Amino acid sequence: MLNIIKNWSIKSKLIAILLIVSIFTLVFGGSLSVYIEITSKREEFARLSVTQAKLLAEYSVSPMVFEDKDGATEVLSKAMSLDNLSCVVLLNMNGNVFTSFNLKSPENIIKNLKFDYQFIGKTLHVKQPVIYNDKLYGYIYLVADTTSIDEQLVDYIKKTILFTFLILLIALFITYQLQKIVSVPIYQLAEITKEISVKKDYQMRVEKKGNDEIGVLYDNFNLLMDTIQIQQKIQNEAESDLTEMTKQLMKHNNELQRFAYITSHDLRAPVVNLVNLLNFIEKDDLNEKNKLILDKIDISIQQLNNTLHELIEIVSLKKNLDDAKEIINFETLLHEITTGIEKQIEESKAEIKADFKIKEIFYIKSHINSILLNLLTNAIKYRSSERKPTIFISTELVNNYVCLKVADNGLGIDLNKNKRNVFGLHKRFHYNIEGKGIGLFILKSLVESLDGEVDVESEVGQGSNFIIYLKCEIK
Amino acid sequence: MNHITKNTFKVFLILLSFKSIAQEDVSLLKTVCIERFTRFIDWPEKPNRSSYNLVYLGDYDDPIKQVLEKNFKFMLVKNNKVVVVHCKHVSDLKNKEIDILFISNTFSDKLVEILSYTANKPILTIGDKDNFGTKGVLINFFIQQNKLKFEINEPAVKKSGLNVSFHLYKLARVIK
Repeated sequence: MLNIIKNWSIKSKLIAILLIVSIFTLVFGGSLSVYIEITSKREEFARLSVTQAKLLAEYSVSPMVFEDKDGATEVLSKAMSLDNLSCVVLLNMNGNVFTSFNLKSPENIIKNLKFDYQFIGKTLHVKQPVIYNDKLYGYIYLVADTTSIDEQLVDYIKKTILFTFLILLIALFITYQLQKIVSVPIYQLAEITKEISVKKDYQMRVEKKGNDEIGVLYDNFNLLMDTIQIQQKIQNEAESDLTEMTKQLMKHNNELQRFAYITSHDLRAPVVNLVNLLNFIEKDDLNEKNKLILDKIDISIQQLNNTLHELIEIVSLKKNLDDAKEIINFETLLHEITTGIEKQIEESKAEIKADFKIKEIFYIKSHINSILLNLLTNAIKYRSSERKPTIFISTELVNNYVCLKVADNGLGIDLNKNKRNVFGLHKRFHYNIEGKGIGLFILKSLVESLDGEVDVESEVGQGSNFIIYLKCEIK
Repeated sequence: MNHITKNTFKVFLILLSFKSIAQEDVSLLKTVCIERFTRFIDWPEKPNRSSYNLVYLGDYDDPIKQVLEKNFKFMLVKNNKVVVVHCKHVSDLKNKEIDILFISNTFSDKLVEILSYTANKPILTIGDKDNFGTKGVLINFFIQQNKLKFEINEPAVKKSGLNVSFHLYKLARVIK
């Protein structure tokens, strides 16, 4: 019952509660009234009948004293003119019938009544002694028909039910009107709250109409709205500041990129010239000391050249962020990449297996190309000399991400020492193998630039499993 | 009879057919009635009362005399025994304590004298002849439609000082 009511509107709840109370009160009150009416009617009827019996007993004194049956019968016959009496009997002291009027059978006389009177079925039996000067001469016994009071009571019950129903209707009408005092302000508050949440207009307020709990609720609501409005103002100002700051940062970033781009490209030509010029130097003409110096210059220029390449790649990566996305088929892309590094695959005798559960995605092709190429070349580069390199590439859907995995059986990485640095810039774990330590950094940058994530599982001597979570559409 | 108020509801009715009932039974009936009358009549308080005196004024051979004497040996009045005294002459009444005086119908010519003895005294006078009631006897038997009835002389009752219950009046023909 409570579970049903709890989802009702306040209006319905109030009407239901008041009606339930009204119905209970009216039904209880009506029942009590009917009970009191029945009891009082019957008692009144009994009192009247007892009084009649006492009068008859008084009138019957002399006939009983003189044992005058005719006189007694005449007294009884006069009594029969009274309403509701169905039979009257005069009993002698032994309880035997002395004379009677309308008595159908002596068996109709109850020998031992519980009280002066007793209701039996639809009749009332009354017995009163005929006494004179403290001497008992007999009893007057009368039987009254209660049909008339029963009819009156039925009529009363009908009227009570009718009035109860009418009062309930009036109660329903009054309840419907009065519940508005409580429900309308709450309904208005709910409406204005809804309007505020839709329109985001925090300037709206509710108009207080009383000082009751709802009035307090209105006050508190308006206070809350004041607070929200102030917070909104602060937030707007903060957002405005943030936007301005973002603009400034973007401006600085663009300038920095332009600076890096210009610097890297402007430096590239002189470095290339230096490399070329260095090749023209005849090392044989140099003494040992100069040869040593030249070698060091060569190394320095190579380092400068490498650094410049890295710088160009990073700058290129940032530029490519705005490249258009396109549909990429993993099978096709893998084929293109393996073709490009065919020589390395043949030399390493690496076996490449693929299982693409997600066949195509909508992504920036150069990014996926760079990611896959990087992981494949790494897998070949850091292969184990103890076994034939095997690389397994797969795609699947994990928590709305396209999960690209590249697993190898290579040297592996000690993640206990290097877990945090795997994707760091210039981080290398196998110094006996040629590398710049920027591949995984670029890979991570590419993935995160489009809200993806990277992870790695690896065990030294067993191999590595690079897991790339791509945020993209599946085609 | 013009002074007689007839109320059918208040008439004492005893079914009695004189054709089929012996005279002795009528006397018995009258005797019983006298006893029943006393139940509705109160005499003024009398110190040291131990009995009620019923005086029968009439002939010796009147059947009722025997019946009265015989039955009042066993019947009580107000829980007191009854002493039945027989008087043959009116003068016998003089200086006698009388509570109930039954006047035989043979004394009709001496009724005035008899009543002079009982006037304004608490003596229940009972007559047994027509007109006795109107002449001043308190209660008088009479026959009507073969039924024994009685009449009460209300003014005489009031003068006597006796207190007669309305129950008795209800059954009687009342002489106002």
